[in-house]
Amino acid sequence: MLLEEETMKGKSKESLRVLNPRGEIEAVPTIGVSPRVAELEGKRIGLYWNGKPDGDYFWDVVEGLLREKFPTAAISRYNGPGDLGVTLADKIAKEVDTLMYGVGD
Amino acid sequence: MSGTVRLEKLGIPVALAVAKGFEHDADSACHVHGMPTLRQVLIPGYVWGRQPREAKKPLAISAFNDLVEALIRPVTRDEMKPAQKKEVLKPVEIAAESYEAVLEKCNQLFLDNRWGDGLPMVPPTGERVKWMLSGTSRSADEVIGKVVPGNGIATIEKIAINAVMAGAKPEYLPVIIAAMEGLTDEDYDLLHMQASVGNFTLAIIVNGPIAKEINMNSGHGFLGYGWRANSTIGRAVRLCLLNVGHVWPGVNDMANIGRPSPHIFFTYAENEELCPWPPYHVGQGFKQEDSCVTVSTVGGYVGSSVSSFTGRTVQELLNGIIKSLSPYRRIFALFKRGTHNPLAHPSKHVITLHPQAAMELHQLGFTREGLGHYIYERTSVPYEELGPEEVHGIQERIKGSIEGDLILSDTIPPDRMPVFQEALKPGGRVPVMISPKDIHIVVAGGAPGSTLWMSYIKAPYKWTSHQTKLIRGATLTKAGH
Repeated sequence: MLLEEETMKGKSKESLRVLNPRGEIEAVPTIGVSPRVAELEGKRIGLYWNGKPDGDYFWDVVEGLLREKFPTAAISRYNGPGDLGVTLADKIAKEVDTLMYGVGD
Repeated sequence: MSGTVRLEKLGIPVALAVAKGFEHDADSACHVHGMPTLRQVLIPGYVWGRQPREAKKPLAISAFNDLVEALIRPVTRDEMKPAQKKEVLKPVEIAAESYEAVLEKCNQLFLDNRWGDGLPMVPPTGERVKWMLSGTSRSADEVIGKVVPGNGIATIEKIAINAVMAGAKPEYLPVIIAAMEGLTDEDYDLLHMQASVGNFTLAIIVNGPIAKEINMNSGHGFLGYGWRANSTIGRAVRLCLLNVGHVWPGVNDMANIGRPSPHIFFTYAENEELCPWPPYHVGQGFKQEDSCVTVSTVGGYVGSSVSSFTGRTVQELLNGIIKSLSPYRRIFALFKRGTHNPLAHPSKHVITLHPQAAMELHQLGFTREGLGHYIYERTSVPYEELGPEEVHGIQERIKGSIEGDLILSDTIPPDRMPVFQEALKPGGRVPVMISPKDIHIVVAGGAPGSTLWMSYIKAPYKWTSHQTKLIRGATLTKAGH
């Protein structure tokens, strides 16, 4: 934020004190990310896409590369809303060890 | 993005693929959701739409190693325990050699901090804000709600500060507050309007006696310039959304062209004097003597999202409306479960008739609600005319809605489900909208007039994109107490 450098009171003839227009944001408790998997071989890997048209083409290539480079991994594809919601999140969490997640916007 | 956080909280390590240009958006969403160290992988291009299969291949190949690495590289201490960030919102002191220089400096400072809309603003001094607050009896500390995507808290005082900057007068403040109450209502999908790549914008429509008292334009050129109330009420809402919601174009407001009428939205009053029906807000459950604001997300730049109808006769006008809305039957065949195709979402329409058209329709026996029903019925498609792909799409939408795995834009709500189930039978008619209530008829303009058509899709994150709120707490007008 560019504030302090604008404070010149005392040296200048005119001054204004203005109120801050920004909405205060309640401090959100931060959460760290989960531990990673050691490797992808033998793991259940999920690919999640929110279904925006033609994005599947991207994930098709990613899936093909995963199958080629990690032949013992099990790949599952998922589609759903941008925020997958509680039910789908619980389902996916039971079915995969790790996941790549994309939304169309 | 929030889905990624959901999975991380369940212990699943996730790599979030972020398209180039959306990195600031993703970053700001990570902070809002309390997981600033979420692992993001930048994709050097746009993942969905607009390109053939072959064009996506190099994108996927170039991002592949980073996606894998994001899943296996051990997390650092900082990633496990990220620091909390808090913006300190202090008053700002600005000084210079002359009044003109202070004014210029203030405006530049606000713009440099992304606190402005690009036009000159009135400095929100304590005195000026106090003057603005004289327009309401409500406490300056009262919380109206949170403004997404930044989740900033909208208090009456913050709204007043932004109203000052917009050049509004105190007697407009209760209208601006009511508009913000509509937009921060827990049922209103403000996130889609504020952040989507779709260039959606807002209609802000004022009803009741306060509109006349504060001199709002509801007649000829009702979306034109020169009217302080229309312009600064809309601008105050814009500045509230920007500053309290912490949005900025290309950072987390991702409208790819921009939002039509970005500085003041589409802000106008209903022409109640020349309207043959009870005012719009009466149909929304309010008393005729009440003053109300309706806020509604409407489309921009895509197809016929904002357009006008003409017609030599009122029947021609009506036929034009029906002809324009009928192509929405495309949603039947385009719907596919597991996809998120904006062209397959049912729609909502705000149709602002010019007074002469409204009067003639009234003479033909139409009520405001009856007209909405008529358009809804006339655009629905007889079961016998549906092709197999259309029938399949409708069946899939019904199934997905019942099983609850569709985004809200595509979902048929339980109260409308029987309509669609009954329609898929010989003699039935399938509607192209979820409900006749998705057609809102308003009257504005003069003579001669044109009819304004603004449409939008069903909102994806919340159930509604349309709210009417009572104006209250006014101290400087006879209406709106």
